[in-house]
Amino acid sequence: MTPPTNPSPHDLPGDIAEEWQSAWYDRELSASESAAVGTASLREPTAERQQDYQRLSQLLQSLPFEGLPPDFASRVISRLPHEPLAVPLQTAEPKAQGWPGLPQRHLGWLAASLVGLGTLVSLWRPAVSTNSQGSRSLREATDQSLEIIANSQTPTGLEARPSLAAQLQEISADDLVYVRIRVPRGPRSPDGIAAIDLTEEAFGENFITQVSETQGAAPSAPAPPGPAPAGDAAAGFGRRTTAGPEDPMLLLVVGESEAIVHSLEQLLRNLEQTELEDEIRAVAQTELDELARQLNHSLVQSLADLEQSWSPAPLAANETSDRGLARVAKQNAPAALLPERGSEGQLRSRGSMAWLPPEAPAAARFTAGATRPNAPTLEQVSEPNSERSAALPEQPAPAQTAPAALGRRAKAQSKEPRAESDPAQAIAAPAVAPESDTAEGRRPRRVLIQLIPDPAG
Amino acid sequence: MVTKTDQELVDEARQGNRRAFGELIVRHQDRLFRTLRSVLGSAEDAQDACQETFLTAFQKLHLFGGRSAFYSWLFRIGFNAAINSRRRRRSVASLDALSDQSGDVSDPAHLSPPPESPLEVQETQAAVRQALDQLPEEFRTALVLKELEGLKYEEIAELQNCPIGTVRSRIFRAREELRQRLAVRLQAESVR
Repeated sequence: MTPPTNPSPHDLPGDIAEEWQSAWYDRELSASESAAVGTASLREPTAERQQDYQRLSQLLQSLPFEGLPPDFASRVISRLPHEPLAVPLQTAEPKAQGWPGLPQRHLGWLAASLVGLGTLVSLWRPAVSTNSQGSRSLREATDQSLEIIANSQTPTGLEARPSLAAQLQEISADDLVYVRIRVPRGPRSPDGIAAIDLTEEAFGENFITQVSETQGAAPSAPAPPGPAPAGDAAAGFGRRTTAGPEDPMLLLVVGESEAIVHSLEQLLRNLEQTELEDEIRAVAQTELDELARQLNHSLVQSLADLEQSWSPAPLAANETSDRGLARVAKQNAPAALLPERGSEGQLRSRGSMAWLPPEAPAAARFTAGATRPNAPTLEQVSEPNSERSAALPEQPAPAQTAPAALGRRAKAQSKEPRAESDPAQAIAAPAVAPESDTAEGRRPRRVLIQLIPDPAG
Repeated sequence: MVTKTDQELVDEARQGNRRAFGELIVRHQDRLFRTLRSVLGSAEDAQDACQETFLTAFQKLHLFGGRSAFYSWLFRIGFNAAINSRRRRRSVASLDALSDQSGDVSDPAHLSPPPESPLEVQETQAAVRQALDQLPEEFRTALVLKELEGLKYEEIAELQNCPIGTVRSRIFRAREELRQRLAVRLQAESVR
């Protein structure tokens, strides 16, 4: 409602004019409104109303209240969660290989999953991870798992979650990392939708290639193509993906470790904060935008490196220019990794991410990837009806896909500028290029992220 | 003995010091209870809401950024807890029903003589309490947030998720209802 220029309570409808009296008493009127009502308040009826308001305020503020029980504070304290308020940093260290140290509940979880995950260590709060060599019997699925609880009951500070990057570094970039993120409620509940939105935002909407519109456990997509997964292993993995009672979601991210870790941490922060949206919305939006920009930038660089490193055929000796190297790489690299033109295709040059339907055994989607652990391609997660999957190439010839060599080549090219100016050297040097954390962090890796509802939430 | 600030106690509580959090409870429980009691109209519900508030606050202590006063942050949690509690109860009195009751001769506000003694002061307070509790919840909540918490209309509008104009109207109507119900008391107060 816009007040008139020179309002007077007597010029207004009765209710509004009276409301002005109340708001005037609370000093909640605009200057012009206050002036008008203040003048009118000199009139007897209005002055009486103002006096009544004042008496009412006095009465309300002097109301005695029956107090809380004397032991109220101690009762509340006794009901506080018993989990430690802060996760000691040292406890977030990755557990070494071995089963004996695992909590019983994790052993049960592993047994139920029937996959040979080497070690699963789940700590309370997102500072949780595990790392160990996976079972070789599960060749096609992966071998590393992280469990992240985004809705911990403990008010641990985010700073107490130091291990995610470290844990990922412990895991070979060749392995698929399986990250479970527990959200307070089902992914299809209002909060869950927010969680999915946050996830997509954290990783950049442009990287979403497919979103499954599943409801509950009802299948929404045909079975994935490719070789059938190994029986027990696939079943176990599949159970995990459908274990959520509401609507678990899977998201495959292929990109640089650093970028993925960054995005994951940002996502977790925002998941934790969704319940106080009005407190954090503005900050989160800003951070997410910045994150998306950073991620886009880093993935563009990474994929550009990858395009070159993925030129599988031995390069001709006379290919000595950058342009020539790029052309050869483009001709030989899988189509999915080549930058597409146009708004729709631009994401393909940066990285890849795909929501997977929960009912689809994830292990099946990584069958091909297991034989080429370094290959950050999309064919493992492609849906049968997906146009993008149709465009993906068949598995490259072995001579063109030696994963270790390709991985080393990618690292070397990303680390050494000289390699770009000298293609021949770029090809020769990677075999002896030293490993480094930076290079490791920039190596493309595959991370399977699952949003699952937390029953405790 | 140096009294620690809320922020210092929050920091200690974050590090696992339950005693520090207990001090925060003691420091703010009465004010919070008083407001929630008026919002909910029930001491028992208010006590439950207070307990839920502090438990939730403990769990979310890491989210308190210190941009606002701790009590403001706590009160938001408490208000949400009260709203949730109210939704569970679902005993909303309609304004029409309230209007029908306005002429109830059993209303002590209409029967009691002007207060002149401490006993009658207590009767007046009981009448005010009763009249306040009988207000429609939205009206009562807006008035309590204004009178007891001293919030601005804008803050009330944010908490009640409604336009400021609605807040203005609710507070006005709450006051008018109280004026009618407590007319005798108010006249006596003016005489004293």
